[in-house]
Amino acid sequence: MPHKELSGRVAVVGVGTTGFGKLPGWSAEDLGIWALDNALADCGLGRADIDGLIVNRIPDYQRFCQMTGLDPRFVNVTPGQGRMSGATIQIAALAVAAGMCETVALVYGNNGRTGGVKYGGASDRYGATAGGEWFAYGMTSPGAVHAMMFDRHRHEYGTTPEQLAHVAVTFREHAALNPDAVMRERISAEDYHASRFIAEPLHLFDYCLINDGGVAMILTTPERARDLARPPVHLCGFAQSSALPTSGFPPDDFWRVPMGQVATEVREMSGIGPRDLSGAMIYDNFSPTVLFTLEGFGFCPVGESGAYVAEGALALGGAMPANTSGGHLSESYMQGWALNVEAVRQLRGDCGPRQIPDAEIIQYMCAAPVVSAIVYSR
Amino acid sequence: MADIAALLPPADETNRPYREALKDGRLCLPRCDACGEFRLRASRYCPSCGGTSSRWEELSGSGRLWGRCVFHQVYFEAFRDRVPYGVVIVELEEGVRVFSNLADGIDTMQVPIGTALAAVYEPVSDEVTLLRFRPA
Repeated sequence: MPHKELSGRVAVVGVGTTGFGKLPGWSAEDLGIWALDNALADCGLGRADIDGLIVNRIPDYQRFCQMTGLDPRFVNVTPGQGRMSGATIQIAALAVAAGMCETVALVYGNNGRTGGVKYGGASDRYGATAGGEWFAYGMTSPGAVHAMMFDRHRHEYGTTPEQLAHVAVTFREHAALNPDAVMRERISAEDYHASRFIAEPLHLFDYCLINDGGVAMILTTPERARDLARPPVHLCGFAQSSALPTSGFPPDDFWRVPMGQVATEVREMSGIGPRDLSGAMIYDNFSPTVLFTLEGFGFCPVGESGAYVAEGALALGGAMPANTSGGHLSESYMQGWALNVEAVRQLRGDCGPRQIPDAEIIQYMCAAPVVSAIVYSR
Repeated sequence: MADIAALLPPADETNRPYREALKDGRLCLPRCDACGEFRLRASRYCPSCGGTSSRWEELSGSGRLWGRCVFHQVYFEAFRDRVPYGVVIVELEEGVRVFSNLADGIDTMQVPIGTALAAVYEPVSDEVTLLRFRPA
């Protein structure tokens, strides 16, 4: 596990987001710069203060530095997959903690909606279905993989579509309180069940929203953070694990083994477990992922996530308010980045009508072939 | 159904024996000489043990239904007139999994997970036969 002494050694000091939606004329780099400028303004730093850079989804760090004048000592680029956002934040934290840079900018830009990006069909690059070996059987898309996983969960534990509906309905309720969310019109359980199937048993509202947008985060040391404009939010636990060798097919265990490893490590590193959290940010590419995450990270017993969400646990005011921005299902699919920013905003008390009262500790989690978690605290 | 056949990646040495066997109504996959594990396509190294020697062997074609879904969304023009259609994962008794379909006329969601299945070899063009399944 990551060394315990790294707990609290790195802080998020600046966050920035663009508008989300259809933004024709904006390249991924443009969107990243827009978000970066907002994050710099947020903490009162300038581009010259940045000595570390990791870009994600933006394909070329070199071109990005040419476009911005950023002159980092430490630089990297990570694959443009949502599972990599948490992992990228962890790399940045390690770079700062190790002294390879002092102030690192994480910049994400995605023009996928305008660019017509599709996650199914000929352009499918998802691990289980990329390469086209199964296209002749009509098999494609991460959504269909998650549909099969939910079908399995239903088979093993009796989880119902009525229970699953609570995830999409609750996150839409949160999005209604978020002026930045793309989809803000409340939906009922009836609306959910009446919506069309994409890959049955999943409905339209079980799918995240592909949009254009950018997100940036600035991380530095707690010492440097003291001089900056906003209160720091500390990374007090983080870990990752994976389940890659067999990832050509959905996992038998809904990624419970790697999630259990990560849950144990972040708890040991931070001293914080599910009961200590003010809220959770759960990677919601598809709504069943939320169920798998709740079980894998120990928020409820295995097989009981359906009942847990049906009790209203994830709602503001519930046992574990989650995805208060609306998440990927209703705010925008910013591949985990905007969920991490929402964690920071909640801990600063910046969230207005969707604020979790007295939020002190929030955990981000991503269940996928690469699992990651980050515990943020004030 | 030639439009479906056209969705397959080009034939090469990693998949040609598999495809030729399907045309003969047989299921054949590379099997590691060292550890005995089957894999889905030929590769220099065995993903399970790192062994470098393997041979194509015939499988039983028997398996169990692992998972199901039904596509309502059109992702390929070739399937535009075929939605909704089912896709399944079958776990073969030799341990290998494949994505597949149940044979024509079977309602995918009416076949329970765990059902014993047997291979069906369905030609979709002169050159391509697909591996589908029916309840055993």
